Amino acid sequence: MKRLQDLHHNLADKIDNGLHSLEEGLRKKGGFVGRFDVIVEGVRDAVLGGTNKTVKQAPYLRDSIGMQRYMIMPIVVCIPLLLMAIYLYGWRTMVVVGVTYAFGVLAELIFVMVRKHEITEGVLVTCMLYALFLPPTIPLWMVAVGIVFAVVVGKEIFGGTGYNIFNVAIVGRAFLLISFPVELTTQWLEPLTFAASSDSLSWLGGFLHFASSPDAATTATPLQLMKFEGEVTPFLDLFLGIRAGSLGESSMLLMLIGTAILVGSKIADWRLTVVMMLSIGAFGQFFNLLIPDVFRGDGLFMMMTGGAFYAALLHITDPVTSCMSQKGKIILAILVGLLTVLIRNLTGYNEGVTFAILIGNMFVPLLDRMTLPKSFAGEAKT
Amino acid sequence: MAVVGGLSTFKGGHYFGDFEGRPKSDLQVFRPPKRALIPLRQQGFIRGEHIKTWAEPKALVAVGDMVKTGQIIARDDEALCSPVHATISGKVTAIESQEHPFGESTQVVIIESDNKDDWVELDNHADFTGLSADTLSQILYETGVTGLGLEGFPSAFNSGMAEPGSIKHLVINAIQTEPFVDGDEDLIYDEFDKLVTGIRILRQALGNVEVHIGIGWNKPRIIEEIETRIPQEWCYVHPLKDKYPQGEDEVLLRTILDLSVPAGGVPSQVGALVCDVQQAVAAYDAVLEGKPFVERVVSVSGTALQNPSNMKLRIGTPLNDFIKLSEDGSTVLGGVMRGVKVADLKVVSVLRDTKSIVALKHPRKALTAVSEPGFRRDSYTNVYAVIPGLTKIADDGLHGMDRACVRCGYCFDVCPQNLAPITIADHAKQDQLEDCKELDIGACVECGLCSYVCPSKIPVMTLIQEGKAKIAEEEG
Ligand code: SF4
Ligand code: SF4
Repeated sequence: MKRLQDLHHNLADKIDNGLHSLEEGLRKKGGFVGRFDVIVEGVRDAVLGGTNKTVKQAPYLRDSIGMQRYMIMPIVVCIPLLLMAIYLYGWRTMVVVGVTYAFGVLAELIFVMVRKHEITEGVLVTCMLYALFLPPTIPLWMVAVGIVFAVVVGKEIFGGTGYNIFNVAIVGRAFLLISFPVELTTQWLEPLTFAASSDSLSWLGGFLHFASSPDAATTATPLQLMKFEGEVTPFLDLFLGIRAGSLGESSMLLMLIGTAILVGSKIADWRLTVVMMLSIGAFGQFFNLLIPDVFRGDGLFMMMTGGAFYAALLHITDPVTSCMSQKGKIILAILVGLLTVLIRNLTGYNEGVTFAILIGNMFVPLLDRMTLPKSFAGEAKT
Repeated sequence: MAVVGGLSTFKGGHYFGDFEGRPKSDLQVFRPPKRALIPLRQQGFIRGEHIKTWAEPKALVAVGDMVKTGQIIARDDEALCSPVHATISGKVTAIESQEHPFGESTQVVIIESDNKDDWVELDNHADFTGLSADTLSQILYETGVTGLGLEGFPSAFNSGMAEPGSIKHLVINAIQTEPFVDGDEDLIYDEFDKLVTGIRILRQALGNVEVHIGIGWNKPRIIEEIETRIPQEWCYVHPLKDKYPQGEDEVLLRTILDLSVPAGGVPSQVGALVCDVQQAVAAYDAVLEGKPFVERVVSVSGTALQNPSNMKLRIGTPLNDFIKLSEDGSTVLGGVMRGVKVADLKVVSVLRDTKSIVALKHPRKALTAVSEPGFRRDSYTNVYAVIPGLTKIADDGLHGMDRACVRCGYCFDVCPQNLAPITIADHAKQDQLEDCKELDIGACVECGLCSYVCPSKIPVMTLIQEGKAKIAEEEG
């Protein structure tokens, strides 16, 4: 065991030294090639990042969590969602994800090279969240346009991870929603698992296909079915996620598992995820009872359809664009839940949650100011 | 005696695990050193203004003088500081100016031992019950039992913070939650009789006030023992969860007495005086045995030491006398959470308020930051597959890259004073001192948790401390 550990550390040292000298070499060359040093540095720091830096100021003992570990958790949660998306819509899902990463990382790298700031891990999360929130039929060029817009306008012009006001992935999606409403809201596919087939392997669903056949009928999402036809999708289908919708948003079961991981590890605060879901459920139920003609579908239905849970688990919990104090988090989550229900039912946008989060993000600075924790120290006696 | 309430604790804070390199139990007594380095400068508060400051009594000895163990070598009855005692007997070989480990320069008296360890003779009072509060206070002052923490003990002299009569509660802080510190535990077990008597002495010196003891709930045996030994109405025991920083005066008082110390203030402002176990035992030695406070228990621990243990050390013992680093590491004087790194073990010595000295190994490079399952990692989050019961890894590694604040809010969640740490730190960095004051920067007890938890590795506490320094400077 000790030998194995030593082996690992020595290997890590070697690789790091190699990368370090490569970086130095590039830097010495200068000019255009020299710009690439930040990329090597990014590989060392952001991708590998098993640092041996020591602490310079008290406390000399520091938490074992670093930014890499922090940022990998949402991606871990997304992997089952990704598999589910492949199962429902075929391997084209991977192409969508691939294109997102290629263009997202490229956009980030260009900025990193021009502005000479360091690569941050955030973009890896952004790309994954963005890709899985797209409809299965989305044209690939649109995927690329959206993610580049997200990284450049949503993040880099604000100054990079930590300074952006809006959730980066949501910015990309909102941009697409407004620019290409037809592709984003009407072209839903029946999951491949629906296709009746005599094949004995048909239970593998999308894993056997690249994509649905081009002439496959488009269908509607459960929310649309409810809104326009008053049709209720069976509970079990909603729970397991065998229904039309964006790539990764559909399975409530996987969302629950994701919540257990993300909230359990404290990466996502329960005050955001749980409260937002409860808020959607409560407001959905309330308005449904009050004005059933406009607000179709009860609270549970509201919670289980569309991207509600996906956004509550992965988008509102983006630390950069949510409140810092505990009270602020609760207020933000309630607000976003309310907005989701309202936008879904009162506007043409079925995917109300996207805009709800954007609007919520705008309130964050104000909420932060209003909910500053109150110091426990006593009043100074004079 | 009464055990009050159930388990109490406070909002925020963090449960540290059990780290590797913790002191092994049983106390080791270290012989008096050949050479003692005794800095005269002490931390204290300006009387009436509650501003933390430094005081330096004037040296009473000159180079070449012979001194006895326990002899007063410096005092200043006007300033807010305690007299300084020689901690070994021998000859004063030098009085030189040096950098104090915690900053500022100080005079250091260097005593070369004559190997006899001759003590000064002081009166001992086997029966202290007849002594008046004033007499007791004076004895405690002259023996240096005053002000083991930052705050002076009230006395007839000017060196106490508290006005006589204004103190209503004596709080004995018997809980240590900082990693690597558990010297008090040994002291409680080994010197239980002295502790009990010491508490009586301190109480009597304060005019028979109420006594509250805050102690870890996981020491039922001691709680029971105190119950049988101090059966009076005036003593209350509060079992507490061992969450850091429960032992901080402000946090302790809020937890057990619901008293809120004003920002930047001291407990005596709310009528309480906090003493630790060390101080109670020292009070016994001073009054019943006539021995001034010249040695203390220090937790000497950490992964870079061969033999981590709690040691009874003379104040002024140079660190290299008893610290043998097993490999390259850094030595931190005064606890991992708020201490300072010591560069040269030869010139730095045990101070009168040194509770802990920790030597930590440097970390080694790992291939990636995310591949490790982390069975023995300590983290505020639960991203590691920690196996309960294993000791945790301790090194002085940063464990991450410096990043911009991602606004995760962990520092808000852990702050025991319910502050907005990174918001204050940001204002402090940009010299917006008015905003800092509005956010109650003075309420920060400098526990270090905000820096500890930050996944972006921002030294939040350091920025806040710098902000405080800027404010102090501005106010002159
Ligand atoms: S702000 Fe001060 S009291 Fe709060 S966690 Fe940081 S160091 Fe501790
Ligand atoms: S813990 Fe660090 S990253 Fe998180 S809010 Fe505080 S300063 Fe920012």
